[in-house]
Amino acid sequence: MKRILLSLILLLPLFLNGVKVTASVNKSQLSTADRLEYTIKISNDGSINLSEPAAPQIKLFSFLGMNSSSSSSTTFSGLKATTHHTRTYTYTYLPLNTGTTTIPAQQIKIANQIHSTTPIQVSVVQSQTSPPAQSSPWVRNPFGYQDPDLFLTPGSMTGSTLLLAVPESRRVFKGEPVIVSYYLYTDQMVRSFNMEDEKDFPGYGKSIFTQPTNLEYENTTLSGKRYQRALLKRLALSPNTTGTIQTPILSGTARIYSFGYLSQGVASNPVDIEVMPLPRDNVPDSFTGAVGSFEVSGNVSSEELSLGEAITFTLRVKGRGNFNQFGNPVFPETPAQVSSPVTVDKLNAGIEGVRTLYYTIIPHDKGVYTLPGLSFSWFDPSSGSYRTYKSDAAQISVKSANVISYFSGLLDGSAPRSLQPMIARNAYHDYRSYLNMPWYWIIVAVILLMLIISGIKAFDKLQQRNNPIKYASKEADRALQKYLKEASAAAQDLSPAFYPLAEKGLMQYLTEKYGISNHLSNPDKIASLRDLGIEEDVLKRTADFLELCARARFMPPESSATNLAADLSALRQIVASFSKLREANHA
Amino acid sequence: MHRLGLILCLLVCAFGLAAQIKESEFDHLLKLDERGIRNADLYYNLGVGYWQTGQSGMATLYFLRALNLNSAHKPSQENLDYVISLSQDRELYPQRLFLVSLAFRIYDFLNLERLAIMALVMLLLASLSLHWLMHYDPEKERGLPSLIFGICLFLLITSALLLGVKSYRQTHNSKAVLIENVAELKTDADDASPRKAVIHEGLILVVGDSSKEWLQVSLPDGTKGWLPKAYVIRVNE
Repeated sequence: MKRILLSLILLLPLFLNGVKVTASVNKSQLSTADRLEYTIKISNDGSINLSEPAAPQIKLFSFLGMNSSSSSSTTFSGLKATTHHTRTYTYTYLPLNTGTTTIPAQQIKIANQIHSTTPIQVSVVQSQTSPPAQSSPWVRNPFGYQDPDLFLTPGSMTGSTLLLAVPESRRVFKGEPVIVSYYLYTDQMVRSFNMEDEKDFPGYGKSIFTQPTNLEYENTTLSGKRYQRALLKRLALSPNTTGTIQTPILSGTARIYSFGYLSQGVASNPVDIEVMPLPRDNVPDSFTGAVGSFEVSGNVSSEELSLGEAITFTLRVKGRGNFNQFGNPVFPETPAQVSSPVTVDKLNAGIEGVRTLYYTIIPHDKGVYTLPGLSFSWFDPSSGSYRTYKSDAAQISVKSANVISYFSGLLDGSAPRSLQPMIARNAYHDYRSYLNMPWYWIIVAVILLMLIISGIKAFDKLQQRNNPIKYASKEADRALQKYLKEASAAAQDLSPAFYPLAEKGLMQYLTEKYGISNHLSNPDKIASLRDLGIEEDVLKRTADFLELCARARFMPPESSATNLAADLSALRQIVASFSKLREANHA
Repeated sequence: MHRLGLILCLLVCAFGLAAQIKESEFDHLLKLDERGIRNADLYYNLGVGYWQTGQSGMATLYFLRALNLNSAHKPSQENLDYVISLSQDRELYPQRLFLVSLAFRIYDFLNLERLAIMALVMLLLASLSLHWLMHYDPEKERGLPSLIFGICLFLLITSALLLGVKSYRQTHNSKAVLIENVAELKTDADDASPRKAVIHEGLILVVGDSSKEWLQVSLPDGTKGWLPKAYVIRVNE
């Protein structure tokens, strides 16, 4: 048994490959102020060819609209490329009442196989926020203060106020949108109206078509009596069943002024609308459920292109109808690759406006193709018959790819063929440029500092190279300054160490300045200096000082300390004499 | 067996619940945007979301915002090209010559981060080559170190200039997008002034002067005119 289970688990990925259909909702528990988004996601390793699934009917909810998206990704494994396609349909619903309901499993037919989603249970709770009041503030408080409520009773006032639902038509076909207008009829002074509830009945989807923000009255007559009426709301109902449906009941409170204010509750009565089935005869093959009055047009972006380029076929459907209840037409078989269409809607309440479908066509081979016309069929309620639009067949000339097209292909590697899907990200970090990061400027500063140090070194070397004598003097001065400093310190401390330090500093100075070997004896060094043409007087004083230093080594410390000041002065004079000689030589 | 089945059922239920309670992705992105997070991927995803809800103007705006942060953001560029190719005013966009397109591609490829790194590397190379040149044996021919230093210095100056220009353009982006369905481009900042052109949602504009309630804008083909401020949203707004 364990082996069988293990085998099943190992084989599970194989079963998971291929078409996968899943359904999900944005919230499993929502309030009456929320919107329910029911998403059907279809993924497949091959292309997905299907019409849009019809919007599921969900108890307690009214269908508002639908949008779809598609994406694909290609994976290269060795020499084999696998393209994974995903298509998502999201249906939006408006909660009508509180309670719990189950979204039934949806049957999706793909490549002659039925795929089923799992049922999802959702619950609706009462919203904590009350619906916004609809009022006419410019009428309600014209003088800048609130009128007192006089607690009048309805019986103490004359006149009547009522709310009526007026459908555009009492007989419609299934799927044909019908507009229901809700008017407040009154012969009293209704200053504001607060909508409180909207009770729905089964058999239709609903969306708001018009929602005025002010009570704008017009004069009218009802049953022979003169009234003023103001439009409160217009709803678009899309019947999804045949038989009789009832318009939603709108209720609210009217605030009436008659020497004080009175609140009066009013509600509309449901109005029956007969929904007829669509004729079963002469249904065109390309009919995908569209019902309404449409103007349809289509065009191809270009009829000449090079191999590797793409063209777009655009289908525009304009008018009023059940845009959210019909699928996109499928392009006929062509020798080119045709993408599933990208839908762009400009619709009011999902029933009126323009829907534009963009099909991207990429030819596989060069030559002249006939692009077949695309058919779109719909049922026209005004004529009671099906109508079909078929675009003209177009001759597409595909030239071979030339050098320029190779280049254009290089640049158009990102040429638009379809909208790229969203990028999956777990987190979005706030953007901060490197230029605002401290580490960037620290690196710049370090590089510049290193450059400055290197520059100083190079300048030093350059000086040494260009004027070696001057450089040697400079170095010797530095050395002497160092040893003289130490010798001076020793003299001030009356230390006998003065003599060896003074001798060492002086000899190093002379060695570095005149290039005399440090290994020679003092008399030999003096002789070498003489050979270099140093004045005899200076040489004699130097020799005397060196002899003094030699003698001081064998003298008792007390006797040498007495002459330290004088000997330091003598050393300074010798150094000064050499410096003068140097300046004289330079001169 | 029963235990395994139970575990599998629990896992399936857990995954199902997780899918159900998942917040709408687009709402989540909008909240992040409201919080002021600037991120090219976030702007890109918002652009896709707006496009899927039929708001081509906002989609164009957010693709431009993504490219403003990262000019090498390829999916944003692709989607922007795609949205432009479907717009009603696509003919207004100029067709670039091959070499000009190539230059713009290279300029876009070098986003601010890449340019910053390139400038840093060039600074380092120029410093090293200058160091080499300074310490080079004077007895030898100095042509090679001089050439290398010259090349590095040229690239350093170029990348630094590009970095400056790009950084300035990022913070002073004058592009804007028309978000009104249809708008009339006026010759003056006045409703009564004559109409110059009729333009549609999603058109990319360059903003010039502005008055109290009007903006002077340039269309992609160079036409200048005035539009009400409420009709457009600037990329850097």
